[in-house]
Amino acid sequence: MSTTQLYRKQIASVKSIQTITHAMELVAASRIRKVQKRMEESRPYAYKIREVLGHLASSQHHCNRRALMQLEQPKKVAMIVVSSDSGLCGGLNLNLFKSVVNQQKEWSEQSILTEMCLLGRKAMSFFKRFDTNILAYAEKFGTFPKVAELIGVVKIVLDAFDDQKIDAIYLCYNKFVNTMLQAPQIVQLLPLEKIAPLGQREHWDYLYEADFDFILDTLLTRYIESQVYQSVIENIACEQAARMLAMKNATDNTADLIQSLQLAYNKVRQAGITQEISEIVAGVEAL
Amino acid sequence: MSEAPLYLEVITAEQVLHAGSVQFASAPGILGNLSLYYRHAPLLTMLKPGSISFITTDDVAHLLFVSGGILEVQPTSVTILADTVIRAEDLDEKSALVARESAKQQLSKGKKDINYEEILSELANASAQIEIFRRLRKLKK
Repeated sequence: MSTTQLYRKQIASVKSIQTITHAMELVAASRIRKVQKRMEESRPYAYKIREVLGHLASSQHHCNRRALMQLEQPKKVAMIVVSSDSGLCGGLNLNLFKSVVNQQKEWSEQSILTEMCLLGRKAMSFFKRFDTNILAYAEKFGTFPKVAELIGVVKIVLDAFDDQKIDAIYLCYNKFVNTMLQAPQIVQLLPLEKIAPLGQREHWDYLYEADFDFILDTLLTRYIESQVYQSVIENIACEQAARMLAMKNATDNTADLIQSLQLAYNKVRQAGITQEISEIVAGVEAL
Repeated sequence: MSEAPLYLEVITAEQVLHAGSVQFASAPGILGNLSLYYRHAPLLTMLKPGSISFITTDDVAHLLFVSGGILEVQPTSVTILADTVIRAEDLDEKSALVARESAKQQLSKGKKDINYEEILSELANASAQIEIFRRLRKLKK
């Protein structure tokens, strides 16, 4: 095949890649608005339930529930890692995994074992390469996940906590700051962190209507569910934002690539023409 | 008007229905209706299907239907983390009546393969909504 044909083929293929990346950018851009709206709607609930449980943890109720007791030295912790199902979203997942692995390393130096609970295909394909204990795994949430899809995983982790198999639960996800910025987060879910209520005395306790354990159980389940749900939603928003950015860069790069290929093609073509002309001229002169 | 306003937040997983100061609020606790004023003792309870009502500091009364959730009371603030909340004016009385009748029928038939819990909660929801309409009519009179 002649060089010009080769170039033309290359240019055509880069152009078709450009169409794809541009389409992906537009799809991500249209999804991000919807996901962002969803994320902002459910944020207050997630924050508030965390606050209520923080109040509960700071009250003076004497009970031996593990959820309310801070352990000085946990032996085993679970990390719920939220990732995306598909790739092509820049360094989003890897940034998160990096901070997770760093945290893991730090804990293993203090001889704290970690168990993994993975959400999303990318987390699975990353962590199965290492020697990690995987407690639970779920994938394929789509763009709009439902709380019901997460209940299974939440239950496994909560049961393990209740059975004293793990001493703490951490949630790792990408927090959506804005379209340009996503920040990896590692937050402690259990035991509950104390939040002192505003304007409350130092020693106080709630009046509990109905049974304390019943209320706490219900609250805890809702709390973990809402936190995990919120993190999944935030992560999806991050994924779309990161993908939009990555695809925009890719589209820009293909434009540059096409330009330089076009230039090289023109040069080769021109060289061919020049050569042919000089051959003709030489032929005429020979006559 | 009581001495100082109470800060009330009504939040569901989908939206914030109210966040602001109120003079008074009432909510359907699992053991009975609660009336909440400023400096109420701290309290934590589940909610049953019923109505939330409150009067804002500018003397506007609000009535909402709640299907269940969690109520936290602090001396200066009340937080309602609800499962579903519908404003009274957005409720549909006809469909509530229909839902109550169908739930009652299903229960009276006593079939084996029905989910009692689900139907009972449907019945409770529908009855609570109908109760809200009764109260609304009373207010109008």
